[in-house]
Amino acid sequence: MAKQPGNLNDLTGAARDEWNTVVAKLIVQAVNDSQTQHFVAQLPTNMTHPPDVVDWDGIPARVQTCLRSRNKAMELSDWTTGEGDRGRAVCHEEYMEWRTVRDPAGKITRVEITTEVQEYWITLARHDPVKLLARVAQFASEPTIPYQAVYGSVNPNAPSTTPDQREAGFRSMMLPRRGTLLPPRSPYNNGQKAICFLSQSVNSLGAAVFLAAFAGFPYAAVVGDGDPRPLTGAEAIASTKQSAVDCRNSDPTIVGAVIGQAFQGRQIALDDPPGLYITNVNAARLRQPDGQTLVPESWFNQMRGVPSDDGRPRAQRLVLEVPADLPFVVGDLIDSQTGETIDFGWQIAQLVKVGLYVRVGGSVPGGPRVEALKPTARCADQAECELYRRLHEEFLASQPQPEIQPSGAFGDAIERPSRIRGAYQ
Amino acid sequence: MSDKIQEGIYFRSLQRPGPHWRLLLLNVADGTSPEAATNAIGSLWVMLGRLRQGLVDDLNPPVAREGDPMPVAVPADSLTCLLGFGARLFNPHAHPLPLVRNIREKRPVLLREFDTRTAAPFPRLPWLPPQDRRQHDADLVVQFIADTDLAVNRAIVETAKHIADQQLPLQMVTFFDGFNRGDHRSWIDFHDSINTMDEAQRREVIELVNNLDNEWMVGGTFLAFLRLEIDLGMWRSLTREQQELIVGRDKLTGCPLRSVVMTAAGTLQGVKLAQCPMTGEIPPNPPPGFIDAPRPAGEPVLLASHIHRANVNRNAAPRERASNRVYRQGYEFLEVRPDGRLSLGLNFISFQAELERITDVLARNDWLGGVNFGGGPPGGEPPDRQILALVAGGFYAVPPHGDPFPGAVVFD
Repeated sequence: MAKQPGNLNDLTGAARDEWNTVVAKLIVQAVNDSQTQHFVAQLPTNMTHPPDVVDWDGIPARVQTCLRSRNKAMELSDWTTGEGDRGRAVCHEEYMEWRTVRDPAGKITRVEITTEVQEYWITLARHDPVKLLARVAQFASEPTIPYQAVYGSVNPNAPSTTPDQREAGFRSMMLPRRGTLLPPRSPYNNGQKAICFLSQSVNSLGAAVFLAAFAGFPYAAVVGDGDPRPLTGAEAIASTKQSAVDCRNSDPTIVGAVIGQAFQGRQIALDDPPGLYITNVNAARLRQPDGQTLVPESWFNQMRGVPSDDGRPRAQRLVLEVPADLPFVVGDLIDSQTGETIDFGWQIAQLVKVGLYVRVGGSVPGGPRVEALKPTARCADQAECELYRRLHEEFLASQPQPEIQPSGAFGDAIERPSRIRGAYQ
Repeated sequence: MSDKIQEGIYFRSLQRPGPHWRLLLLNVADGTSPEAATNAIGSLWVMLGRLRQGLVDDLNPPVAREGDPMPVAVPADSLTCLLGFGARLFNPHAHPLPLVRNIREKRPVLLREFDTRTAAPFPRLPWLPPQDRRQHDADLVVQFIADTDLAVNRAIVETAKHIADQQLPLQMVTFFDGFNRGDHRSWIDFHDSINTMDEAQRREVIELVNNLDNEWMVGGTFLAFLRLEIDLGMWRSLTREQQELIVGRDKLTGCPLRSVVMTAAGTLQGVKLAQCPMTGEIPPNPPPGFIDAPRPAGEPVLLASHIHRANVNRNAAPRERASNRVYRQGYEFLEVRPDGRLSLGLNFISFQAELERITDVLARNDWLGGVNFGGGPPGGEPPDRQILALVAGGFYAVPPHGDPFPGAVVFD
């Protein structure tokens, strides 16, 4: 019986059974489709203790690489429109999504980060709408919320409503609109009032399981007269059949880690409870407005998960907020490594590592599988980069035009004020 | 494809750095204009260019006496010179009359002075006490590497002479020295790390590309400098077995450890990888896994060792952020304090396109942010003892080749 992500206990009865089935099916299908012997559902013996962690930066790599600018990547990733967080819908693809809450002046007051997988929320939505709506209300800091905002036209509490109907309604509101790059319709998962879980399909548990399964081979390369060495993630994505996308932080890391174990003849399995977890938060990097006082770790409220017996963290949600009795907000905090004040959710997201816990053990006969190497991707020149460039132009066009002051003798326009206010400015 | 990376970073195939190293720190005088700074650094750079050809100014006077041999060249001893910019250059508090115009656009975001107000700039890497510390912020650094001690010392002296002769608005702050050990071991007697990347991978790790935020740095890199003092007394108070578990290798042969056993005496001891060499020297063709030790899954003691903490994601491609790979060129140091105490350790020098890589390695709990050097959590075995402390350090921007000197455009 698969545990619930984060060792939570939202699911009971039929919902708990269904979660077990969902996880089992995902893994079986991934193993069957990939034909791997190295990625398995469970390791009966020789299990490692504690589990290994495979983690990566939660901030998205591709948008920064494609736009060739951290500044542009930050502003696009935080792009909010009347339809919700468009930046999140396009950019947040590393199994971590965030929401940035600002005051009327545009200063950040709270940043919320989630790694909760959509499969879990769909299971909860199918079986326990009361609990689900309560959870959403909790995230939105509202006493109650109308079911229509989460289930659309489906009344989840009507006696005749089936789990499939609830799921259809839930998907229509809480997941992105199919065939578009737009965020979910519901303000409770498009960032306007809350975010509850990972909305992008590329951030699902299924996506992670499939890319781990397809990496479950002892792929190797021989360079010159040397001994075989395991392929890196990027090499494997370029040269073998994979379910991964290069140039992200997450995919090549997972692929490389799985191949590294397979190369040693080992088997690898997801640790139970399966899920994507916040594995590290570099809280010490932030300072209070005096520039010296550390931000207490307690301001980083890690939620939706408790450690397993191994002592490793299993949080899936993080909320950073300054206590209300203090005369400053998140936007006044300072990143000690850059001197910047916090003007984008990205600057908090960059403190966070997200990852999977895996068990390694067993033994699979057979040696390395040597592959001919193909050139790895040129990340800044990928076709997908055009999408980011186009969207960034769209973002710029959507911003209020800077007020043009009377020009001086040389016709100088006033520079558009930057939202990055470094300590040296 | 040609590159614009400055000399002094020996990443190209068949290049080997000379065994002698100096890092000279310079400041630009208060009140200097960007134009005057450009002229001063340009003048210095021209002089150093002549020195790389063995031409010392005083031996080649502008007005020769009749019968003088011209030119008079001294052995250059493969001297290389590398110019870097420190955080101070971009700091208007240090330069109220800004040396760099449009600082906001030009300052690389992670180029920050190390914080001396806190006990440690990185979680488990503390400063030495103030009286033993040699920390200075500086506008400029010049790295000299050569085959002889004379060549790197001469570069410093010639720089001082040139500044005086030309009345340049530059001031020496200090310099640091270092040397390579021919036995490829460090002061803790273990083999030091060995490069496992090929030339293309090294370049991917080093060279900043595709960056519109700091276009003037494209083709350049960032230098991380940490002068780390080793507490030899503390290190030698550990047993050989403890030292090996902390490092993750056999002390004599350098062989990686693959597992841990309990001895009859109730202490932990590492078991070497099979097929390891039996000599104290690293062979030309070491067996698989010797240099790049495989992760010992299921061995928490070894996973907490230095070599595995320093490279947690072993199978990530060097170009990937998650690999946290950097290109290292370390040099040992040894000096004596006025009270007779030895100060010895390592000048950790690394080059990387992203400074986040080095800060990540030093800040993350499961990397080196959780321990000072290696070992388990408090109370565990082997103990993580305070072996390393910071004498000095800094991050520097190393711009690409440029005319009249690397990074001159920053003063435009």
